[in-house]
Amino acid sequence: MNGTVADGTRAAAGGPDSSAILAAESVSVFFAAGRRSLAAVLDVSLAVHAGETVALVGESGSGKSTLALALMRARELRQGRLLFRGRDITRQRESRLEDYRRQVQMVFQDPHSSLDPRMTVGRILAEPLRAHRIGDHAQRDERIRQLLADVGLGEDVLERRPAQFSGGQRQRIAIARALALDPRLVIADEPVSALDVSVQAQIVQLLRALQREHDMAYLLVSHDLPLVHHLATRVAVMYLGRIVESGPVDEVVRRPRHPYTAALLAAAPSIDRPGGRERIVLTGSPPSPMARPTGCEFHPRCPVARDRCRTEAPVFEIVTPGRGAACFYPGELPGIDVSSTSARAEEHV
Amino acid sequence: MGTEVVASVTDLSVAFPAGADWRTVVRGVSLTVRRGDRIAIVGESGSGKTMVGMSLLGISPEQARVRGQVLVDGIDPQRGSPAQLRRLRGDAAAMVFQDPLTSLNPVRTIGAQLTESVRRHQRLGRAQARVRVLEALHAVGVPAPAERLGVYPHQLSGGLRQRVMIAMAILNRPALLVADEPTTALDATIQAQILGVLRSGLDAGALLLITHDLAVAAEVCTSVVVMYAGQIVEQGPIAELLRRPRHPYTRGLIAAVPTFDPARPSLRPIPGTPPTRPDLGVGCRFADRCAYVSQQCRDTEPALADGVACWHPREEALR
Repeated sequence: MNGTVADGTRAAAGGPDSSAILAAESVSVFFAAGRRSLAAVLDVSLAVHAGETVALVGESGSGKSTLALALMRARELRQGRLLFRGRDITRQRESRLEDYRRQVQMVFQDPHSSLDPRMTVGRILAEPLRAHRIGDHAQRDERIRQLLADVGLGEDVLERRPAQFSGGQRQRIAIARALALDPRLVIADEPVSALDVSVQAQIVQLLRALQREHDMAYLLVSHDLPLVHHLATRVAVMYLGRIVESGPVDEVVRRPRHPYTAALLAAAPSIDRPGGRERIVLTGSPPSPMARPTGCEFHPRCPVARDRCRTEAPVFEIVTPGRGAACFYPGELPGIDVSSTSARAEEHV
Repeated sequence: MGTEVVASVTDLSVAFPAGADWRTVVRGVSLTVRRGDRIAIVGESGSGKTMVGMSLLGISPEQARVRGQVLVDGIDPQRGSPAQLRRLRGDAAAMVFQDPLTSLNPVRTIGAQLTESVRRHQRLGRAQARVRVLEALHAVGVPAPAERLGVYPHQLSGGLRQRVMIAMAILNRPALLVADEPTTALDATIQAQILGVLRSGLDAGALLLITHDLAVAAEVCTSVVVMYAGQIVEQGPIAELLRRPRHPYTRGLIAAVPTFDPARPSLRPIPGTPPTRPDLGVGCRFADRCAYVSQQCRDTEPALADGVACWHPREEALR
């Protein structure tokens, strides 16, 4: 799978993708495990362009969070390059990355552990501004008030500490902190999955509104496919550290090319189909990266695997720019027929 | 389904000490579970749903004050004799939790733990007990069950561990299985497998599934109880409730869930947050977040009547 261009953007542009805010090129990340080292991310390419939302989906161990951290330069690359606005930042000194650090921010799943419990909200929000020497004291105060208004919090929260807030409010604070430096890209790792359902929708709407107002791009790491369908423009599906399928989210949902994508779509429980439905049942669990299967690494769980899949690894085949999958027999399993579910719902009205 | 009552809860309230006072987290919950029922209790954090499940097995936290009447297979979990409680836990009822690692003994093999559980509750010889264990592991879809008997919990994947937990829970064919967020810690494809196991009926005992996720409830259960701020606000057959939710909170909860279906409302937020001390309020506890609120709602708390606790239940379909 050398030289895989998972989302095809580089192939389309015919060179390094300089129109992207941030791009990973054939990136691999390894972890030490005793004497061996394990590939958590393997030969992944991905680019995020201005204003778009790219989603990374997959189960635990798929490497999606590791890839997100690698994009923040918080994990060392074994192979590949990181490009920030076309510039190779893979081995750049941190002191020369001020632009990148301002323009790329991250929001984590758990706002309990991502906010310093000893700091007041005012200090949490002032910190990035101070670190980047932005404005004087009065200007920073003004900026903090603006940030609180942006995320729907009042100024009365300034002197309070994270423990005094609910999960949803804490996530608003974490988002305000990420916005402080007016980023162009926010990497959000499961930003709502620790929150109650009714609060999740509040935060999702907030993320949407902020994206419109501030013209930001998002890289959304999520296991929630219906949510991804609503928020993202493009999606990349990861399995065992590799991207196995990517494309415009609506196409991937309607006509998945990889059987794993189809299985993930079918596995998502849904209120549209009470009592369950015919599903694509995957047997077993994702294999450990310690014991990667031969051939196509999905074949032991794949409902449509054939002999060839057991011995030969499929390359990621680009169908159209930005759309592709790594499967010898693509498109054999169905996706979600969005039009027919809506027809059924209308009968109920 | 059947009419034999397996468990009943009447006017249950659960309170915790709060300084010199009590903080009531479950208020006036009544519920009947019959043989073969698959009922979901759906609610957000702080709704009191887990406390209802715990009271059925008599495992409420020590400092909790549990009032009201609970009967499971004729046993009162709060006041039963030690012999009755032994029969209750594992025999009449069993519970599965979110994290199976904390519920399994890490230093004993799966086979030893399961066999012991069978022999404690049923007069079976070693060989017969082993047969029952293999049956139960097979019923929950553990592949090659005989080979798993010699392994320790940490050697199993999360999905297999949860299957083993469910197998352990159904070993003695309990009349009632309470499963509290059994798939929340699991990945999507594994969750789908476990939900299939729960839906399959589990030897026709009754299932009470406690979850925050309406979609999970819809996959497994035939009826649903929606809790908010310590109370039941709506209950009924799940297909009907999803089609025509009547309580504004239920409607809000359904509209907040992301769905693939463009004809359904999706990701529509409920404004505000649940009350932190619902026991201190007056009137309907959802009033502050409700689009249909009236003075009556603020003055008087509506009782559960005809499946819904609301002064202004909606009759129109959700859009």
